Amino acid sequence: MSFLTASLRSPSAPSSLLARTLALLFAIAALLALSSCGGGGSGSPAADMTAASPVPPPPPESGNVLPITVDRGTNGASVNVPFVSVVVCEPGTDNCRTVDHVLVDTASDGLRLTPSALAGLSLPVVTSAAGAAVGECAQFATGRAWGSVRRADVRLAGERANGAPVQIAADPDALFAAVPDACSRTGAQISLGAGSNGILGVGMLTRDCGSACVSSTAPGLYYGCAPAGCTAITLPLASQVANPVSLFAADNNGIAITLPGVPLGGVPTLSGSLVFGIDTQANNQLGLATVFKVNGAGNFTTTYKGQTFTSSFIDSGSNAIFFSDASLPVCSGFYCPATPLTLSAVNTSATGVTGTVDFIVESLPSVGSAAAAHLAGDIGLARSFDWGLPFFFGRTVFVAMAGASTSKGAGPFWAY
Amino acid sequence: MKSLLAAVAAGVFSGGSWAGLGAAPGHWPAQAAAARSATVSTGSSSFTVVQHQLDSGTLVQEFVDGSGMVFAVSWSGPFLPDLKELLGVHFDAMAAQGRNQGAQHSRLAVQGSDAVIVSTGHMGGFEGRAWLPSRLPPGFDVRAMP
Repeated sequence: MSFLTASLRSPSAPSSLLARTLALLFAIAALLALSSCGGGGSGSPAADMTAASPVPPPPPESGNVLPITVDRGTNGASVNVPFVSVVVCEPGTDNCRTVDHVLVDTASDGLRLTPSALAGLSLPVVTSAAGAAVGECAQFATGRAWGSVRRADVRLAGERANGAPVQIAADPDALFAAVPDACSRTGAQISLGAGSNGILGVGMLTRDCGSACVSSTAPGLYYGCAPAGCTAITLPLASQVANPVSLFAADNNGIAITLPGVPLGGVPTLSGSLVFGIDTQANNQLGLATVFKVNGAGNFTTTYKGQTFTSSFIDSGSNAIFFSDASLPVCSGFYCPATPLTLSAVNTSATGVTGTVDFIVESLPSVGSAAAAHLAGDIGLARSFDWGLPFFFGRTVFVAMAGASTSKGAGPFWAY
Repeated sequence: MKSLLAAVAAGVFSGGSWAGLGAAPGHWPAQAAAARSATVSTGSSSFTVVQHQLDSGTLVQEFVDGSGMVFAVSWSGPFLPDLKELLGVHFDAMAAQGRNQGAQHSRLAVQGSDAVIVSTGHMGGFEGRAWLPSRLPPGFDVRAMP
């Protein structure tokens, strides 16, 4: 592998025959790498990965398995965005809507939907201790999502999160028409509707704020709204927007995401699975997966080319692996090496467990209109490393929630 | 250069009402637990780092030059700070980019000629840096910002 990398970096390398040979070598190398790092008890997808195989049909929806599809999204422009369909019902009824193209996001917590996806559905608003309608200013690195907090029965495959507090972003109800000033000062409204109909946050938190919002308004997430306006409030855990997995009767300690490997050049669609629970069923066993515990901020450490990145995380909602390497050329925000590169990094958990990750970087132009491809980009920060969706290719990645009990100890942790 | 900076700073202060990146340090809640400042020297120049530990648990830092102008800021912690206060007039550039992110919610970068703004992270752990490339003191390394 190191020989291959060195060859690719050589400025004298590319002739067309050599390039084709290298591409073949890369496909083989990728296969070898993937087969060597599979092993998670829930079944490595590596065996399914052949460069020229047709796209397999989505796996069937069953008890704890929700099919994932990586496609071009509702706007035809998405790349490396994993989508699921979720069923949202009025509490206690079978009056439901199936919402397609909901982004599976391991970097946030809770279900957030656009109002247009729920037309005709009447979901009761969550109320504060003082009886006010609860609004939320949910926070993302790129901005905020202002909207209402309402209860719904959320059905994910065969699992049920009944009465789950969910966020309706940009809720048209007049109570939530005015964005609180403090909320607008954290950023612009994020676009849940651009390419997707919502976000299914299945990260490490059981509630999107937690104890900080129970005792203080300082986080700035929750508001009590009345016709006169919205004011910051504290909110009990049970009323906060929930990671719906935490509300399941079983399979409620975390998730696993499995995606097949992706050949050079990318694929037009990719099908995988979102599996609920860890060590609760035969299909979600940790098995030989390595556990990477996180620090108080939910991060671990990545070492790359001798540099240490202490704010490292795994994010299915990022469409590339984002890290800083000034030696790589950048085109339109993504790295664009002349020929595919195989790079290597070492992840170190908060408790000192280490593991090497080999990954591929292709240029965006070379993958055309693929929906899934090995992309990377500059994160622009010296200590952050964002393992986006390409990290999931050919892997099963477990997310154990805070407080989870598993065969390999308590969450929160990643395992792969 | 020095007189130009002083003139800009004087304009800022006479305006009085706005603060943040490119202006005077922001106004942070009085209850913010620990406000500390330290003077740092980088060879020929020196600057001041003003640090606020907010009640939300998030740390914000403002890097202030000799004229009193904030030339760089950073934030790190479980919740977003008041980014309008921290970024000042450059907040609008971040907001404009934020509206243009599609389904991408974990990384934002504004690479303007006047200001660079980078924000990343996940619920429970956010990180961001912003700076004015033309106002950095000699020897100031943005990659080394805490």
